[in-house]
Amino acid sequence: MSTTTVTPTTTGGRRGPGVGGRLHGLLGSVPTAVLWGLVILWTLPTLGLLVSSFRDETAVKTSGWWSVFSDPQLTLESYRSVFSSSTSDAPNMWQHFLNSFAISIPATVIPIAIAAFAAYAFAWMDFKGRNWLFVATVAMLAVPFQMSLVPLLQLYVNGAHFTIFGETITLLPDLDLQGTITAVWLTHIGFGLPLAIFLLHNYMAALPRDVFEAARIDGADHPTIFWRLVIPLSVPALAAFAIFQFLWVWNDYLVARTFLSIGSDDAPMTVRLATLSGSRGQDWHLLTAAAFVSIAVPLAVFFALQRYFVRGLLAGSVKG
Amino acid sequence: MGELVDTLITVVLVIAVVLAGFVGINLLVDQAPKRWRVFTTGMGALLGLLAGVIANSGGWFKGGALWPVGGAVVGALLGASVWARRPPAPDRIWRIPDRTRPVIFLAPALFFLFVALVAPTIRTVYLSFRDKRSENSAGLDNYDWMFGNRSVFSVDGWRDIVTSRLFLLALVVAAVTALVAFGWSRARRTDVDVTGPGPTMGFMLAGLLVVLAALGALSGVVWNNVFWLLLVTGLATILGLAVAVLADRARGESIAKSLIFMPMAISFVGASVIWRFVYAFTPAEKDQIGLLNAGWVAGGGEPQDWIRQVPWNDLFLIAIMIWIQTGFAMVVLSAAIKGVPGELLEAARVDGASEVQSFWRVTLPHIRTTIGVVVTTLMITVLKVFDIVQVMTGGEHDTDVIANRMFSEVFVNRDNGRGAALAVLLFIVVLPIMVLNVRRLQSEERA
Repeated sequence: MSTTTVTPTTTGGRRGPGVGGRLHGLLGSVPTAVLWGLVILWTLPTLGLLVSSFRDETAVKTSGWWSVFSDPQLTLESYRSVFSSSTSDAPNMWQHFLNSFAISIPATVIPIAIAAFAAYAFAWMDFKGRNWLFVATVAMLAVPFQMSLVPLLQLYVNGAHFTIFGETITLLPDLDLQGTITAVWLTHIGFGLPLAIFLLHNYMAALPRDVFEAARIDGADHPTIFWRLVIPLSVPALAAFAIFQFLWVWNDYLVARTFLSIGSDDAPMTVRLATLSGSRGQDWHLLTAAAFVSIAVPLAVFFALQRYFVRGLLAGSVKG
Repeated sequence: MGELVDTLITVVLVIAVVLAGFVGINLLVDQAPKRWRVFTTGMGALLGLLAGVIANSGGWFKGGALWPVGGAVVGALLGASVWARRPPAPDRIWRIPDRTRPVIFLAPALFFLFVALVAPTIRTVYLSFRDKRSENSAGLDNYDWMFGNRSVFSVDGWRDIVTSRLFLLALVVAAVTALVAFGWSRARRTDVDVTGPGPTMGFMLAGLLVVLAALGALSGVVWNNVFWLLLVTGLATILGLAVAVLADRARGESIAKSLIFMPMAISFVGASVIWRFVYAFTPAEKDQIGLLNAGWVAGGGEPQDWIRQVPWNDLFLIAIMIWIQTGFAMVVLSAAIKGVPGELLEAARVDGASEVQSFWRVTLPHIRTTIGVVVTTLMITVLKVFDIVQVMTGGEHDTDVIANRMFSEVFVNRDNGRGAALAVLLFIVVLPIMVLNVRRLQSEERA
């Protein structure tokens, strides 16, 4: 068993031997034509949004974005309005842009540390119940988050108490977290852990055994092996998970919407965008620019680090 | 800006505390074989601190930091004197670090998993048997409501499936497929083969038509989820496979794949806004600003308000999810296709198999497990769909799904019981997939 690290290659794949003939050439270009037809179909919606975000308000509302090709008039006006905070209901995207970072960074960095410990224990330590504990952790990958929302909400509002013999013991105090960014990233840490442990475990378990045995013979104990050997070797897996989790948290709507009050100043961009879409369904110029601001960061991350993203995806869903 | 800086400082602090605690307790455990008294003192202080914290939360013992600090001091003293006096046998002491290490490595993760997933899951099941505000027992009322409420689940209209034109069309397609397969085998003097590419596609098309017929006839939250599940899982997998195969033989493979994969990076909310713009509707006398209506009008149709057209509006929401998930299926399946050994394909070619045959008889069987993984992953994702429905329609116009209805029961109607019951329904549907995943994991472990 090993983690799959196959990434899409750039080679043309298997092509038949060059038999020649015009018909063969024609047939050979059919896949290319169909593929690029699909690509255009897949890209047009996003392209439309991008083009529209650079058109002025009346143009967006009265003509299709494709008319820009015959009558090119572009402006940054929509972006200016989207970032404005002049009135109380202005989109104020800059604030929500920062909020998205304030939620995504802790929710990405903290679970990595916690999951790395656990993944190492599952991969290289011997203890009773290791197998079933790991299986239980992986099983949690499939648990719908909807199962956790109401109890977590109650936890953040009231804390967790346990009454015995008329005496109420506080297991977790009421930290007054409801409506705060902290509640959102704490929740993401919990939800992200099963995948993090699964991915890192797969990677760590595939590291060559002799390396560990050599270290053992040299007298290294588990903490030393973990810090000196496993963490440096696992950087690709850590990066893959980090990208995965960052995109996941940045794009999340459900958790943020649940634990922050609607219209909250702490809301990430997805929540703000959804509110804009609901209340100003007809303000297409604001909506297009706001949407593009919110998808710009994940798209940049995606195109810059696609290799790692794909690796994480493959390791998370396929093995061996 | 200030808030972001605050958060970053918090993150650094949290990480520092986690790492310091981790390193510290590892060091403490290391002391057991060397300096027994240091170990017992440290452990005593730790246990005392914990006991103090818990005691402090009770009604009788309120005293701020007094209890935890006092507990730590008392624990340390006890550890240094009483427990240190009689150490266990040396060979048992030597094993202490190895025995406790897994606990130290696993404790933080298990704590978070317990608080965020395990305990809430149990509690949600419990809440589903309680009333609106979780105060009194409600018996099975919430489940009665779920299967008795027509907007959630009903089988009214199932007769319309059988009489619909789509269903008849499906029957015709299936019959024609069967006849052609039969005729083909007679012409070639071989056995009737219904597993070949042609018949399979014919029957799949018939199946799709039946699903569409059902979509036209049945309504309710549960059925909508079923349609999402079948259509997204089926079509995204087939499209993803098609793109993976095409890209394998086409020029510009990597760029094409990147562009089709791109929607995976876009949030469901962002994707919904993108598609709302595609589906935008303006009255007939004006220019259409939505791509779909512009194309429709250019083709001679009347402009349509696509996302309000019951029952077919579901399809337009489902299309968004297919747009997003096809890239996922493509990437995973493409990697699997490239993993098919070249010798196998070469052997098939030498035996005179056509491209289609070698794909159908060699590649497909070889990537069967991967297809299974893609399908189950998609199913889990689709079952939980919430954002798209919330942004596109808010669940109006007969497009509601379980996850969105659960959200509105809890946060709009303030009914925790019904919300919890819907969540439990979702959980029960996911359970078989979960068992399947675990089985697969275990068989891989053994291999």
